Amino acid sequence: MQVLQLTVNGIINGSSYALLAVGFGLILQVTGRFHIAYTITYALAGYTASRLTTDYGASFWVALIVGMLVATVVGVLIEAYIYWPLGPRAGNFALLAIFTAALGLLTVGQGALGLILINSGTAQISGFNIAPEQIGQVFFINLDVYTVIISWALIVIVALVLGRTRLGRMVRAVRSNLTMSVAVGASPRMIYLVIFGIGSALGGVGGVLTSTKAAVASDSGQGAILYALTIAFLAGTFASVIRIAFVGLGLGILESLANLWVSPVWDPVIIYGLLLVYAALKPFDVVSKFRRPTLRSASASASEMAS
Amino acid sequence: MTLLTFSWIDTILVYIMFAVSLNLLIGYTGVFAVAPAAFGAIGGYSAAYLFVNHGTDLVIGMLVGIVISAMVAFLMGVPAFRLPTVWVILLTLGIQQVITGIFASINQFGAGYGLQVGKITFFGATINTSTTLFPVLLIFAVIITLLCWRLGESPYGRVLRGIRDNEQAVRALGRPVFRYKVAVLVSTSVMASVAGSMMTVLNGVAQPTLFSFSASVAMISMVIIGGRGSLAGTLLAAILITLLTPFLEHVVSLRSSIASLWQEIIYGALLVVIIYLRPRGIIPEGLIPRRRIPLGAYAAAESVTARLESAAARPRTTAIPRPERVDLDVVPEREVVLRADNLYKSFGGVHAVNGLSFELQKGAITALVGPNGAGKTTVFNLLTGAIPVDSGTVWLDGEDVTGLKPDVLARRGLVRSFQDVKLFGDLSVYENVMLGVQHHPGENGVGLFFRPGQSRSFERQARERALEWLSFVGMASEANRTAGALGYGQQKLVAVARVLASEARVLLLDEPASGIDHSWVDVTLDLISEIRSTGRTICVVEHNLHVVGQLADHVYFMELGRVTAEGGLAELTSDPRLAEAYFGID
Repeated sequence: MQVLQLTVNGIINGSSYALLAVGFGLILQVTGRFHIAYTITYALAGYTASRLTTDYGASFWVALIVGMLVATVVGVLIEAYIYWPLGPRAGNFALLAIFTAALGLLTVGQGALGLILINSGTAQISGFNIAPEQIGQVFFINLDVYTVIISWALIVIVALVLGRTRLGRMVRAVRSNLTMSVAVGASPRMIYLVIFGIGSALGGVGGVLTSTKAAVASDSGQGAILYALTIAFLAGTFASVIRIAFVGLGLGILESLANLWVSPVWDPVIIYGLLLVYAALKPFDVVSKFRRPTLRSASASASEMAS
Repeated sequence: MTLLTFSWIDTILVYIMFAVSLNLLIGYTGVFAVAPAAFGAIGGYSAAYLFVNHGTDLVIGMLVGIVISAMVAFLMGVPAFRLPTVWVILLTLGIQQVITGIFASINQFGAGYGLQVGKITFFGATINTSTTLFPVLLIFAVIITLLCWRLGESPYGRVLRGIRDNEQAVRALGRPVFRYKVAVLVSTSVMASVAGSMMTVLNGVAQPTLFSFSASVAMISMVIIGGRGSLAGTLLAAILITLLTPFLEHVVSLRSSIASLWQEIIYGALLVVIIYLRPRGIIPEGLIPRRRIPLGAYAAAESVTARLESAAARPRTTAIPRPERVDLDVVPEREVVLRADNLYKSFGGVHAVNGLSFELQKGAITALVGPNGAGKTTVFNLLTGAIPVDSGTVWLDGEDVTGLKPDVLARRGLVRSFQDVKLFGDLSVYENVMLGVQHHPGENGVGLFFRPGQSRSFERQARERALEWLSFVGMASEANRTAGALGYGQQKLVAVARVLASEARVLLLDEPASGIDHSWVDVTLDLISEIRSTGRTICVVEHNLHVVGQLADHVYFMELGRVTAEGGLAELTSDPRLAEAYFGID
């Protein structure tokens, strides 16, 4: 029974990780930005939602949507006014320059949120009646059900948009070959903005859902976002949205089941330990030895070789 | 006056230890590791745990911290440096979370409250005030700064700066880049561990917040804002950023908790502004110029300008006088220096090299020609071990060298140049060429610190050799200029001098005449001919058939990853099928 309970816990946590990992992974895959300031969009969405529900009496659902929109706008502005202009200036060092800028933004954002929280007191989302649920001997809360449903609904929508629409084809074109994508009518700048919008929106939703359970803090989401980064890398930098999501789900379940043997205190050690093992094996390309060669893997190999 | 209390001076000294050591990693080597505070935590908690539980002296705690930090850094660096840059960032982020997470969660380490150390002994003497701690911190800060200065501003540091600018080129010149990176990561982590021990003593407690990710970001900010690779800049930034908090507390009169948040906001914003407006920092590397070398007699050596004038004055119809060609048909038993047997390389479903075999004969110039996409540059990558072969064998002097890394092959005498030059743009011209000189004792820690006389003496010889080769290519007068400031044609010549300085017996030259005008092409042709006359074996990948015709003793024609014809250029170009394959015409 304990295994079942832990598995359900893992599915709930894993769904959140999957949502954030898809958001971060999309940004990383398409734009190549190591957007660690993603944490800020996450925390800001939670904070906005908390203010809306406590100060203005907005409903949870309105706060969820507004929080998501705020995250989207902030993400898009960061890309438009900081990352995009920085890329050409930094040339070959664009990755590190943009990561440095992201670190700066993260620090500014966390400091500013810390100041706000010192002045305004605790920020927590109200307006959602958290109630316990039980199926057999498995316990959870109603918010968990919403978290799982909303996360997977958004993941499926993003997967469909990227897989079945013209926008999705443009995104894949930009991701595969930026220069050639222009020749087929894509606008990399617009695609980057769209991707930052989508990725930040997903992070915003994650931020609001989490802040409904626990108060917003200046470093809210730092741990979850670092998990998301880990998942995005474990899934592979050319992975599909669904694959990233399932790696996130799997990691959530693994993390939870590990609590059969070790205290939750060791969760980060397990997750990052897994990452270290994966990283140690990656140069030997163990996984791809079991895959059939495809044109996409050829393109991936060539990119990795180039990097 | 309250701004500069001993307590704040002590804090500055601790941050200087963190920042100057991190500068070695981020600034000099270009490795963006983001966990200095985590290694500080190892040192800090080791000292605190041993003192609290066993009453041991700070020195013992520091030593234990050093050993653990070195092991953790090694275990992290070995996989991380085999992967692209983003993985290094990710893995160090992970290490930061794991290490601080462990200390924050385990009761034996005081969990969230940390371990109180109070009075601690250092070599038997009690340290309990910021005044008594000051001389200890000053000594450590000076030692760490001098160590970093010695490492950074030495032949060792030249290799590190080369790695930062272009690690592929450094590897191709025979330096084990991977080992350098791991060594610098371990050294930096050890110094951070020492700084962490001091941080614990200074604060009287080992606490997770002292070594959080935010603390790491503050240390990174000191390096970036100060100027990557700039020791003076890092020192200045460490002082300014640390003093922000007391300034905000005592001058702006903010509460301590609010002042530290404003400090974060200010240096975070500075980080963004600096990377945007002044990416090389407030005191950029090179603002305080490194030593210029005296050119002596080389200042009067024939410059490339004279060569260019001579090439321009030469009528285009006049054949360039060259050393005698090697007629391979007349001397068929000539020694084979390098042989490739049945090489295969695929990228996914694309067969870039598909059963290629060829050989290079001693003292001859061999050319690889073929249409775009034939796999010529991939062949160079395979021969030099830059990418692994799927199957097949490479023989160098009769020895199987398949699978050896580029640096190993370079040390065995097989060196390549690159189509896109890959000079180290931030280094001077002579430093670029000195990186070609092999077996410098000052390029490893043992030689640098324990055989300084030998290192200095070799440095003088290496400088002389660099000037000789620069003189050979007509670039001696530019020796002190920054390589990035040269024109493309000049850069190509410096790249040739750099390859020559390696004294390699086999040179693989990738499109030496591409992207330069006719006069420069003639200068390059002259040079390569002269190099052949020194007895070296040369292989050229070149699109310019005029160059191939002038130089090559033997030509291999490649199509779709394999050799489809060989012989003299005239013979090959007279074959209508090959002409069509190359030029796309009947």
